[in-house]
Amino acid sequence: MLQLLGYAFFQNALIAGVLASVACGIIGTYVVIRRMVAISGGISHAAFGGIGLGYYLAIDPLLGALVFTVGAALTMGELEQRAEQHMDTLIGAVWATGMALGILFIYLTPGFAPDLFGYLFGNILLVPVGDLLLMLVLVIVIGLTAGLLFNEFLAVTFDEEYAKVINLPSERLILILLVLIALTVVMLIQVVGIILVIALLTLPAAISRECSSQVGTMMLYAILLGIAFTTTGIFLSALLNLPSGATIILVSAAAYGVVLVKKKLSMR
Amino acid sequence: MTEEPVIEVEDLWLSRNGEVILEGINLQVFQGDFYAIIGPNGGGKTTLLKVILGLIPPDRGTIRIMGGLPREKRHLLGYVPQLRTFDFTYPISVRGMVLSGLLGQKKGIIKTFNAEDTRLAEKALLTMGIGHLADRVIRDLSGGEQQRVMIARALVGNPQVLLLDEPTVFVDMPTETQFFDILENLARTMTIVLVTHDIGVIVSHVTKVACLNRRLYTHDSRELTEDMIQGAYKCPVDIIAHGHPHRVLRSHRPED
Repeated sequence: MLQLLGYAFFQNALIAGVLASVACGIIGTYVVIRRMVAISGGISHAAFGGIGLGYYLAIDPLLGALVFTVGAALTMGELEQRAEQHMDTLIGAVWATGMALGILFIYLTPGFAPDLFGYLFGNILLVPVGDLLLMLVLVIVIGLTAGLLFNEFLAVTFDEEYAKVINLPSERLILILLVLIALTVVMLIQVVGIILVIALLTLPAAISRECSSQVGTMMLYAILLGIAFTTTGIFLSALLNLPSGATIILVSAAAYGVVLVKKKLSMR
Repeated sequence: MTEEPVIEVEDLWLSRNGEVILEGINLQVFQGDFYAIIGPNGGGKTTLLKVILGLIPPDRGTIRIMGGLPREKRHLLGYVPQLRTFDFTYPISVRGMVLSGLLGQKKGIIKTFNAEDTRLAEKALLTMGIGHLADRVIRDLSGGEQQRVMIARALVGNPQVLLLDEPTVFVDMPTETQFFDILENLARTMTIVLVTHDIGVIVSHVTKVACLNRRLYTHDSRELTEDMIQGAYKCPVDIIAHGHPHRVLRSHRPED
């Protein structure tokens, strides 16, 4: 098992897991406490349109995904505030439109789309070094923004209406938060793929919520849990020759299940 | 010269999905008022507060807070929203929640709290009689305690007017009396506007009463006339039945 650590690809996978976990812990905490799981799902599936566009234009599909996730986040945020639509409806629309565009672009791209499966279901064992750098930059951007706006994010995610009354720029803050979710989603595509993103975004934070009384500590525990889940998942998938993304998610889901059962039992 | 009202609502109309919710509302709240607006559920009480706060734009009419637009002046109001609209499972301490009420007064992008802010938060908690709860997590509190934390959050910014939406929904009778003692103390130094569907709670404390059920029936005194109640509730309500010692109904005039 320790032999694995000698391989560069394996080290990269572990580093990618840690970087993704840091972003997940910070942003996932907001996603869970403000109930933005569905909107995160919408953002991540919209990314498929960007992946397709990337293939079509022959650029890095992740770059396309970045444009599409940020675009989807801003569109949903703006429309919710201006068009008086239920967020629910908007999420459904953006979710499916993104996927449809992706399918269309890939259909229009001549030849075969390599790694398509990797973007859908993740393949952390094949993360290129260049993507690690992109992930590092994204983590720094996410961490800095969340750190600087910590108290403001707290206020708007806790009670948006009240934040408005005390004249915080709550609409803008929510848009910034949505963009941060979009950036996190792009990082997670490498690790678990578009389809499984919401699980890694929410499960560590959902578990950590059970044992934290402050947003800051909730983030910290979520980061540590994320690192534990991704690392365990990466080892298991390499040892048992299983798909890495799915393994990471199942490890996380199993932990969440155990926590829920334990909580239920202790309440009796 | 007449005194300028702290809150002035003039000919306010609002409808949603073709249904009129607020109809020609006129309201003047003056400095020092302890104003209760009562009315049945669905009568538009919460909506009226939100229009005053600039959270919902009216179809017609003007609202002035201390002579200015709601968006410019609403930070001078301490808003206490309805408890049940609230997510109390959010991981935040009582002190943290009260401190968040000060954020609007902070300049610059990075907003942090200093020792003076913490002192203000402690003071607001002491005013509400819950200084000992500062380090507790809000989800572990009782409904009545949560209600007080929300008022402390509104008080911490030193508002001139306190707007309370159904403040007694989760408060039981013994704490209710205590609760109104606190409000009565606050009323000595600030203006209070309170909306509630529970007529019994307002009886001995307020200085002015109005009834709201789409239209606002005002009387500019603490007397609740039968016309007002009948207008708002569309049926006679026995308001003495709540076990409070004071009557607010005027005695019936001979012609009744």
